[in-house]
Amino acid sequence: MLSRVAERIYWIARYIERAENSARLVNAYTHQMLDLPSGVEPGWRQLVDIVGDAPVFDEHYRSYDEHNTVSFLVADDFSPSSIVTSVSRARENMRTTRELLPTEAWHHCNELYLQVRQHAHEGIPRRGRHAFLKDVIFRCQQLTGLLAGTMSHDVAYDLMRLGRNLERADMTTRIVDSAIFILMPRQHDPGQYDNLLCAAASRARRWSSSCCWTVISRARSPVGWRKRSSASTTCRATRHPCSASWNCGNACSRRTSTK
Amino acid sequence: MSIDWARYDANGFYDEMIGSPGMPRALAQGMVTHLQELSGEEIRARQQAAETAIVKMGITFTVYSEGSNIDRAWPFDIIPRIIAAKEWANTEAGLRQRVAALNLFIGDLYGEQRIIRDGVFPAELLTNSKNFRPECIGIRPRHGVWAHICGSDLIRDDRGTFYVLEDNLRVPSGVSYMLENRVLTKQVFGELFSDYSIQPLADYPNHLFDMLASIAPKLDMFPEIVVMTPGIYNSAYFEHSFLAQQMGVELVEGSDLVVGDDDCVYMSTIDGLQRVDVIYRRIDDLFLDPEVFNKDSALGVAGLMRAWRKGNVGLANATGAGVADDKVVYAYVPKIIKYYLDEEPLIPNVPTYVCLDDKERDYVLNNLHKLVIKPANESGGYGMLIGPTASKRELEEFARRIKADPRNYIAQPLLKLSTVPTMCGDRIEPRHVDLRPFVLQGEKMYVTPGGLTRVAMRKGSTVVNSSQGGGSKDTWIVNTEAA
Repeated sequence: MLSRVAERIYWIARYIERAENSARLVNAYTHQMLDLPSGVEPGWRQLVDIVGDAPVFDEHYRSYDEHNTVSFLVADDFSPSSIVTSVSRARENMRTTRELLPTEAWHHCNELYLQVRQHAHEGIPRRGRHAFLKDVIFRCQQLTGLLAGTMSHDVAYDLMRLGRNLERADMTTRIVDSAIFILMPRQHDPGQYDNLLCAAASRARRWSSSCCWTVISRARSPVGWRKRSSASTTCRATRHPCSASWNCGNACSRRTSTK
Repeated sequence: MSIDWARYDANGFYDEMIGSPGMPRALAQGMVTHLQELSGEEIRARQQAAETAIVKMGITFTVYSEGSNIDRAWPFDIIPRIIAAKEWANTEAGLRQRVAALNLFIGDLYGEQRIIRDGVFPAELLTNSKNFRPECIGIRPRHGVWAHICGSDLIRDDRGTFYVLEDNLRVPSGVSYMLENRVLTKQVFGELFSDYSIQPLADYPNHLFDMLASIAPKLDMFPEIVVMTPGIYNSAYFEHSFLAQQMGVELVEGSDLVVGDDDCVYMSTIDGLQRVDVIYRRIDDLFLDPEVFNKDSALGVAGLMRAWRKGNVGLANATGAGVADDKVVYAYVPKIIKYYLDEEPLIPNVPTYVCLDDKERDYVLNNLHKLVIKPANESGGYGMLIGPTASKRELEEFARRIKADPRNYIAQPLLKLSTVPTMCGDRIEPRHVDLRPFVLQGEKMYVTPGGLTRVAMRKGSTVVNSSQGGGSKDTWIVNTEAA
């Protein structure tokens, strides 16, 4: 396999995973916010902090209200972490590696792209948000399943898995990191809604929920506090010296997130 | 409301499906009957389904416009074009004959140049040729073949006779759309296939692979073949990636390849450098090798010509093959066929006036308003003048250009191109078409049954190029003898 192609395959998987992660994050967070009385911390800003793109956000928006933050994670072209951006980049990488991938996978990714481009704005208001995000999650999972079921499980597939798992680990640490950041200062006096926050954080990562629980629970004890540094290390390890132009800006800006 | 074939009138042109209003040709009977059974709404729904499928499958072509690239959905008309296998057999034989002769001609030009010494082909045409590559003199590619993949444009006149309009011997494109058009027709008009015995197209990538394997430097069971693309911004990128995927070979860019000290070509893979045996290049000659041609080319590979000259890599099409798809050379093709094969051409040329010839040029300048003027080396329908519809200023401008550079222009009479029924909004109307079959020549020869039919979508227009709003159709070569 060509080295250039290997890189693109890896990024396809990362971007698809990233799109799904953003969808899950916004979905779980929305559900959580609906349970909390308004004004209770952390507010919508937390979403932007998790993906680590506050500087980009500040360039375009003044207030961290619900509409702006959700738009930033779902529909905004300028946002490095939005579903629209991730899917567009996944599709661009796939468009340029079609010769290696199953035809159906390309068709499916292209449909995902068309769907997201056309309907992302419907995912911003609460009314259409759930349906849109569910659809994105479902289509991403379908694509993952399609690749597992139709691709040769060779080096290309290994690279896919590598990209997907790294992105997943990265997102998991970010969520855990952010939950800890909220919960830690109150460790001797748990807030009224802490359990809700923990549950939401783990819902966002349903496949690693047990891991989330463990880390968050430990984080709430003084011993666990030190775990935070290991989480940050994982984040740094996923930085990528990328060469293809569309794989660049995003990866680098996202990785600058430390509180 | 279903189609009213009695109101369908080809207006004096040769219509391939409807002989005269209300009277389908014998072969088209089944299709016409079937279309009649569908309501207008059903037909529109099929067209809509095809268009949706095209967007979802990502069948696109790229248009350069105002400095940016736009990916457009491939334009496709659902009503197939039908050609009888018997009629096609002669055309196919003619294409084989033509490509064989052209390859002998190219080999001769880079070899002994017998045809010039014998006074059949004027030497000055060669010295003024933009696509003659002196760097290729003395090279003898395998099987003596230079143009391995040829796409010739055919048209039919007002009596239905096929003519060759031009030959494309450099990097002809369109074959992927021919294949996708068939896939689309199967999806939206599957039931029509039971009425007809249609020659299949789907094995083209296998033939292409075999042809490429036959020009590998050593006869290996598994030669490493690659498709070389200028990159994702090229107008035919879709096709490059499609063919690589269909053949199961790597799609490489210039930066993936390197020529080693041993003058062999390698690609950089995740396992290190790997030898490449055959390159199906979709890059113009002048960008192929910065050592020999355009020094600033970032698309090519330094040393590629060295490797090819030494016979360490197969190159399809060979550099320099374009010398024979010059539109002035075109005028000589009947003589070329006679000279090398001692046969009469089976498919005629369109009558062509060469402006380099004093007498013919005078005729052209006096009859500009009746003729189509074409520059010798443009493609995509650019830089043409269609005399009968041109303004006075355009005519004067072209007269000036021809006088300034007669070598660069030819003229042809405006042909009465055949028409086929085409969906135009809610109605079915006759539209002009051409046909681009693809011919492969390596160790053996192969001609696609049919080819890519392009449709001029504007009423009365004969400009079929997709970059200028043309559409396309699936083309059926139909066996008439009962199977």
